[in-house]
Amino acid sequence: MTLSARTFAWLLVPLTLMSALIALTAGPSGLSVAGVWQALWQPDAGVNGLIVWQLRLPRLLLALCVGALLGLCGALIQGLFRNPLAEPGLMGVSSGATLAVVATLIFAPGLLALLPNPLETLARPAIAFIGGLIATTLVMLLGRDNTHSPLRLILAGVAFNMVAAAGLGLCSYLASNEQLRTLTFWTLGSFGAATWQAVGVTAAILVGIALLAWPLHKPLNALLLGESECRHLGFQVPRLKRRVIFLCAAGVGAAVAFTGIIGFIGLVVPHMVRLLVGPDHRRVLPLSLGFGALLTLWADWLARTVISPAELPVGIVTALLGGPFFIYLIHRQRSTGL
Amino acid sequence: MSLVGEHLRLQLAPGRIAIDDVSVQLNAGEVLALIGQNGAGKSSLLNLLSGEHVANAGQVRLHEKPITDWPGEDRARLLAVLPQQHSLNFAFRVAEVVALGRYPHGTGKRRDDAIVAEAMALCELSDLAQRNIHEISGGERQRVHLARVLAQIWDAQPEGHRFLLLDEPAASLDLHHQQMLFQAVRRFARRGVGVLLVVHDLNLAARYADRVLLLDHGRAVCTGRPADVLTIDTIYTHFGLSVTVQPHPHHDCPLIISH
Repeated sequence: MTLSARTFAWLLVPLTLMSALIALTAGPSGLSVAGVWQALWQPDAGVNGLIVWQLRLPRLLLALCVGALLGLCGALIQGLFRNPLAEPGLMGVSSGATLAVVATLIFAPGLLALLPNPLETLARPAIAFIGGLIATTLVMLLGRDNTHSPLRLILAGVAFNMVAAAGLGLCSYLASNEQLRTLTFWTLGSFGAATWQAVGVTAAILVGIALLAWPLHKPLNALLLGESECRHLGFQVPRLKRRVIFLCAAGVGAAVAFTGIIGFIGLVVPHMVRLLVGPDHRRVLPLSLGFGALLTLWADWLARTVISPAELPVGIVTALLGGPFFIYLIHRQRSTGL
Repeated sequence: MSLVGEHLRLQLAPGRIAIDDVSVQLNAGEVLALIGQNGAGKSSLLNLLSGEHVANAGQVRLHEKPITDWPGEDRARLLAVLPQQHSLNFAFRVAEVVALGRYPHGTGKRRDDAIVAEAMALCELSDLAQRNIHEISGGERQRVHLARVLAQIWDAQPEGHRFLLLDEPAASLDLHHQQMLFQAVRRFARRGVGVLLVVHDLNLAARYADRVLLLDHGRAVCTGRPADVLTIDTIYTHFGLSVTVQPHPHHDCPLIISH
């Protein structure tokens, strides 16, 4: 199936707006679409205004921003590894970022509390970014291979994820009861703790990363031909690699910082986009951003409605949907090219 | 105006010398064929000239400037390389792959589209333009990448003559398309492009190359006009093959017939 990229983009906008409106109605205190609409325009009007503006809207926007980041980073990292099965999670970015944040929360809880409030909000993505950057760099170094096959790299990612899981296990073993709840939140992922501050930080990082990622669409396309071909076309491959890894660590770090691990968005989204519009990064990068936002919005909506009035961690929803899809991808790769 | 390698030496691993003191000069407008047995160092020499490998000794210069000193994009406008193998995992269309060859240029979409169309026509790919690269045959894919590197050096450049390095371009092509390939190569050479190609078929080398360079165990054995290099003795010594060499009935070149 092919779809013109323009059609896809034009479909995404109204679909996202409509989904957003519906998502705003979902929650323990049922609001109608009309009620939500009214509350949106009158933020000060009663309980509904409070619910929409202080609870649901930040959550919705955080889900959109995080989804956009995960979709975009997934597209970047799949392009870098020339493998549609690559995912920020597989490369250790997510677990490295999570481990860094969790370890700080468990072992040095006073550290974050020392900072004044706006800085504290910024400190989390910064720590997650450093954790993600260390993780990817380690995985890249361990997985270096002269045969240009991504196998070693993926094995290095698996090994790193094991070590990170052990680190998280250690953290949870040493954690107090209260910390344990926080930790569960991190490892399962949730948009429940969304604040306007978190939305602001994530949105700013999203804009920055999107602007820096856009000029990479040409070298990433050239890289799909192979590293030598990319260089023969005039691009500097090591610099490209460094940039992509840096952007992914920052993007996934920002996503992880406020919501914990939300897997499979980064894997599934670029893949579906490629199925629809082909592998050209000029289209894949922006559409993965948009589609990632939409899909994450849906996942969060599902997480909140399936066992309403309680809610599931959104990471469980994405993993439940993404796992089977991953198996389908592996099966597909055997029969046809991607 | 040339692509020059002087006293090149390439050691791939301790005790494994791929290229041992080889000097080569590729002039504008000439077709130079690299010949030799498997493992003689043909691809290694090509990789040294393209800047893919860095020589352990000696230097490669493009228009008098060391190849490593060229900014990537400037070099890519003058030097295109067709590797032996392609590993494109993603489902690009034929026209999209060819268009990648225009990345080093800022000539605008209209000019790029025209060049892509011409390059595809030259490589007899126009009918396949919208096909998925995975749905076509290996030989067709080879032509797609050929069209891509031709599109990369399609127009004359103010910085100097262009060069084209092809590693076994004829390997997976049928006879008709082998001829198409070499006619395209000659056409580019007439326009001043220096072409270096690795080729196994000595008759193709004899017919289409201005000069051949014979490599054996990483050393340059001899270089010269096909008629001077491709003799019964050298072919026996360096390919271990008994042949008859006679003038080609239709072209001004030797014809090699194996026994």
